[in-house]
Amino acid sequence: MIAKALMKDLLIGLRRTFYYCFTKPITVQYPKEKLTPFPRFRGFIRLVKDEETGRYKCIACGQCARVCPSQCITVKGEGKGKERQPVEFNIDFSRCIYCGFCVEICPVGGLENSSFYEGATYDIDWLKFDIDKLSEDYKKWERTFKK
Amino acid sequence: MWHDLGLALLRIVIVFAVALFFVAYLTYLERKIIGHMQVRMGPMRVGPHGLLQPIADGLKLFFKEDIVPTEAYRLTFYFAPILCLVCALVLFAIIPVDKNFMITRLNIGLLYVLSIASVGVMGIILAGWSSGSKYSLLGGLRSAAQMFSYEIFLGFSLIGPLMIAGSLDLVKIVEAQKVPLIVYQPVAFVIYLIAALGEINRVPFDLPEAESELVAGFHTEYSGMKFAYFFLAEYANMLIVSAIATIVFLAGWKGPVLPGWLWFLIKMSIFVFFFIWVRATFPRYRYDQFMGIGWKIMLPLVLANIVVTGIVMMLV
Amino acid sequence: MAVKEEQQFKELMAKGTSLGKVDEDIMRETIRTQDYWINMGPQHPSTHGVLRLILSLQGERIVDTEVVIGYLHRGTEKLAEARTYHQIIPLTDRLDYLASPAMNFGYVLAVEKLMEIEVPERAEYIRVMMAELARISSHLLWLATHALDIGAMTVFLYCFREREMVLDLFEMATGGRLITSYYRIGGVAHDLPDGFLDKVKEFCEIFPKRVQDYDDLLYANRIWLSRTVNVAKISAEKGLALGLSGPSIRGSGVNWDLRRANPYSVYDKLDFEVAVFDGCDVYARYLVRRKEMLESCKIVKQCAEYLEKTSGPVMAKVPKVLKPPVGEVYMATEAPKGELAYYIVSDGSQRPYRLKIRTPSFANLIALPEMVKGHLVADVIAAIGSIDIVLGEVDR
Repeated sequence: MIAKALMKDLLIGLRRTFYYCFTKPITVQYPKEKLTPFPRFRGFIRLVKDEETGRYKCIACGQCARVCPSQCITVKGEGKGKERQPVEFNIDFSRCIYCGFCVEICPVGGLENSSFYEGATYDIDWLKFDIDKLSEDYKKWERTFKK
Repeated sequence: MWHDLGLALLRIVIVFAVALFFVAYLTYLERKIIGHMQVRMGPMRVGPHGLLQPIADGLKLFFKEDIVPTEAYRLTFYFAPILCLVCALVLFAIIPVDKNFMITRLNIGLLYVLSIASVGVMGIILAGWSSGSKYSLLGGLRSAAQMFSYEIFLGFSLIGPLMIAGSLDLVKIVEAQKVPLIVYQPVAFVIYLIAALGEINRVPFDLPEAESELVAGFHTEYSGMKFAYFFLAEYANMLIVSAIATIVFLAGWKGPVLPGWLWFLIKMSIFVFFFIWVRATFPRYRYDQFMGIGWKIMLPLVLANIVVTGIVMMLV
Repeated sequence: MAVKEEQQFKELMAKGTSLGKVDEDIMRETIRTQDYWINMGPQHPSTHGVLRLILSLQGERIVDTEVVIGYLHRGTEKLAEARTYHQIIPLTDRLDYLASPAMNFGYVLAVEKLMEIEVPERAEYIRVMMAELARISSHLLWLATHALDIGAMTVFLYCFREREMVLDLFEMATGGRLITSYYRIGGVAHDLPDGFLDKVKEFCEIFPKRVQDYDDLLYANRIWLSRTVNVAKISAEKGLALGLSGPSIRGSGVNWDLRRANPYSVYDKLDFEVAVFDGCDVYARYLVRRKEMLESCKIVKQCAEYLEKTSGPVMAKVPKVLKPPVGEVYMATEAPKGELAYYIVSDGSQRPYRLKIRTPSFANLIALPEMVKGHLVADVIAAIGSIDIVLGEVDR
């Protein structure tokens, strides 16, 4: 009764907020500082090249295109057997849902998840990646929006 | 005579400039304090630690499109925000920041504050009614009931201290306090704070503009500068109730060592901090509960306070 | 409405006015009461997305509520008919996007039941752990928004601080923060990464202390109590009749939790209490979810202890092309919001013939008009918050 009259329940709350007033904020000032995503993070998808030969690891089997739930991958390959290479490989990131199924199903490790995630753009065509753009270093995809 | 007029004008300019500056930076202060209480940082982008944020906000509001709903009653729709802001700003005229520093000294200062504050409510009611929106109307109606009734408790809670101080003149009230009146009138002080929260529509009593229920209450349909007027008026009112509390309960500018105006600002900022602090902590009351608290708990308490004060004064 | 108005008018006439009996025609001309209609949503700060309510008010008191849904309809069930069983997993993520592992869980369990796949025990524990983390994250977001609706905005950010920790855990293990797509038919996508279990244990240590923060601001707070106690009451009988499930019905004193009532996966091996409170009001539902968060934390801890000690496969042997036998299956699980069930009809092809999803939010929403009848506008907000709907799940 006395506790109620003295508004103890309210004072507890006030004490809590006052305590946090002097602790360090947890904010990460996003465009200025960025958190590094964990290794498994499913960002934009990259096409991997073999470092020694400079050829794509991809053998254009088309499994990724088939497993893709949003059907945003198109592949066209040339050559037979081990020589088979993609000549066309398009991912439409405006449709991609970043489920990572294509990376998971790839039998040769030809695709990888990059940690790039800043896909917001004024230009939807920018999101339609072709084979050259897909195999670039993902740091080249980073843009700044200044007018 | 010209000399006097010039001096008066100078005072008006200084007081209003300082008041508006404070009001603008009060928004910054609020965002910053609440931010830190919520383990985040508040504005950081505009200027060092976001110090230019109020100016950026002001500019943004100034250049925003001014939208008037087709259903609105134009005259009152335009008039309401101005009424609100003017009522809030003219109150600064009688606040004695220091013994000799105020625009004008009224012998009925406190009465003036209470009466002008009631006129300010009209602005909100008009805004809610003339917007032609149901949400605004509900907000306006709520504030009509809320502010009129809370003005009563606000006034009553000041009566106890007034009986001891023996004057309505704000300067005399301060001068009458050898010991701050909060010592003699703790109940009146608590009730004043609660009533003030209701009067200036702050959490936990921000029902007229309860964001999660009524979108933005009475100013749902306002945009641009007209919205800014309401915004400024709200924060100006917060400063005013803090100033009155300082004068009536904490002995205004009185204090050792430091100059009077600094003491006044320090004491006032304690109240301002308290209002912000409360906003960061509490949920919102429901409309009917809020009215219940006012009429069923605070009114008897405040009346009892007056009676007890009177009896004690007669005996002593 | 006309009938009701007529009735009111008749009552008024019977009572008469202060002037005594008045001619009925004159009264009809001059005195009329009218209900006040207000559209709450689909663009309203506290309808949790795109819910639309048509409230009919007398003053601020609610006479009637009509719930309008469908603003977030994406045709998930129809889309599923054109996807292979594997491709449906990302679709289920998007039902209740606040607890996507729990959504996956029900679906993969249903398909496994249909195909009679035996899942490795390690995978089951990982799944349960993720589902319980999802429950914590979902309840945290619920508490955050519910408190914000009632005006306590600081709780919102405290809750998000802890939710961020859970999302980080998700990101570390699954690669997605919100839309995890981690579960597979027959197991999970990958085994847990190194150091994950340590982080989970750290979270389990910190979390109960952080719940204290919310309690300080809400649990005994008189404003919170006055806004939630005896508000939006619904009795157990009525709740069951309307198909309420999950924390919403457990707040009415019904001990019905599928994890206990009909244990699936490895829940029967885990030690936890079912949170049941019988206040029937918003506060009881708050208590249920608050306790559930702590209980989930316990489950997560137990799973982490088990997973630390064991190793093994996390994926059963399943064919690459999934072709379940002809038949149908119904699998109900306890999602954070209530009873989530998948009903699959298979015609033996790669794609389901029909996928029906029984989502808890949809069923719980039906109880809203019942709950708020006679209350004030402000209570509608509290009631919406207390049944914890996600529009992605309601509209599907």
